[in-house]
Amino acid sequence: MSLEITCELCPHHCVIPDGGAGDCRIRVNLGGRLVATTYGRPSAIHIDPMEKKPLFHFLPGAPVFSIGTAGCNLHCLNCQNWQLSQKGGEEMEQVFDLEPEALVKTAKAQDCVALAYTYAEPVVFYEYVEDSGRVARAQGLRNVFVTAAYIERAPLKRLCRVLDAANADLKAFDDGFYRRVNAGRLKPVLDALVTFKQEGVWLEVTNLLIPTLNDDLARIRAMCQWMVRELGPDTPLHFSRFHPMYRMRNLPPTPAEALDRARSEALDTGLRYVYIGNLPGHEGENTYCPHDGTLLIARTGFWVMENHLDEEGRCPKCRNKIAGVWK
Amino acid sequence: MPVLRPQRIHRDWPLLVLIVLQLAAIGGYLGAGLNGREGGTGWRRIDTAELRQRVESGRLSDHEALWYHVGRD
Repeated sequence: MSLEITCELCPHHCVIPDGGAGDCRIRVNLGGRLVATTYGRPSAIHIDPMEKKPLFHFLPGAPVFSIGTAGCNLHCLNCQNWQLSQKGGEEMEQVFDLEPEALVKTAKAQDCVALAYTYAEPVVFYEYVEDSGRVARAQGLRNVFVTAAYIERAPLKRLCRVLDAANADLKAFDDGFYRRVNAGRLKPVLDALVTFKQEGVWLEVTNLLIPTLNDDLARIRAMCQWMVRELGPDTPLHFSRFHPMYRMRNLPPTPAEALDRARSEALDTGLRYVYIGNLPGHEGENTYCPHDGTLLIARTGFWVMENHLDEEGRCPKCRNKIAGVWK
Repeated sequence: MPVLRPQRIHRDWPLLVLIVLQLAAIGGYLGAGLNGREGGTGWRRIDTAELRQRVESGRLSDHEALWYHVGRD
């Protein structure tokens, strides 16, 4: 009898022999049964401001109880959390025992308004997200998903039932980049972003701009045009500054001018909210009214310095509603 | 411009073959890089004994995953 298992969670569709793990390292075939070995076993726990996800149009300044487990289904050469993401559960020294009920109870005790599934790749601890999300919802907490969006449509659609907001990476608008740098493909990611939108999850997109690899303005323009068309012009886009990391230490940090050029290009395509991240003090961290240019939310790094939106999320000057979830 | 005489080609053929092979290898490498590899590696060998020990002790979970089937696609 074959004990081989095919995992259908993500587009890799790993065929896993008995005793082996999927490409993500943490979904393991034990005797013909696929086990989510990091279910209830996060290795990273922190309370972050919502802006760190980054989510700029979702409960500004709110404290979020953030967790992540080992494992990832992508293998980005520039990974910022490779000590967590590129390891299996059996390799981690620090593992907490925090089943969904205990997780939600701890988050509430810390006065957090939401749980964030983040740090590495929450797709690979799918079952833990779904169960925790359900418990959190029942107790009045929101659920935030920070992801590279490399997941099949059916599982994502089901997961969206418990998700309130997502920040998804769109690493490049280039399939070759995904194959070379991330060990993935572009199409499933685009499909996942559309699914988030269709399922009513508040979505913001992050694009890490890497010098010479994905900073071509024509491709950036094509990416933004796709966003306007498929996700809508109100979808916030965060251009994030690259820092040399992990297996990509041969490239310099992204120059501020390159981020400025990308932001201008994105705004020119019709996107209304385009931000610059990892560059504290830059005006691209602030939210401006797309109708009259009024400064609505001033930020420095992950901190909200001023918030002039009213409770309904309206511009104080022109009274237009700003897209987002504000309360 | 230097002209390659037949006797010189005859003498240097091992070098020419080596150059051609090297160019083919470089071309193949660059071609493979352009095409990239499709997604992940399918599955990974892990320290199963350590994993089983951690699962049995409760340090890791035995929770059954969703979205799989037994056998190949």
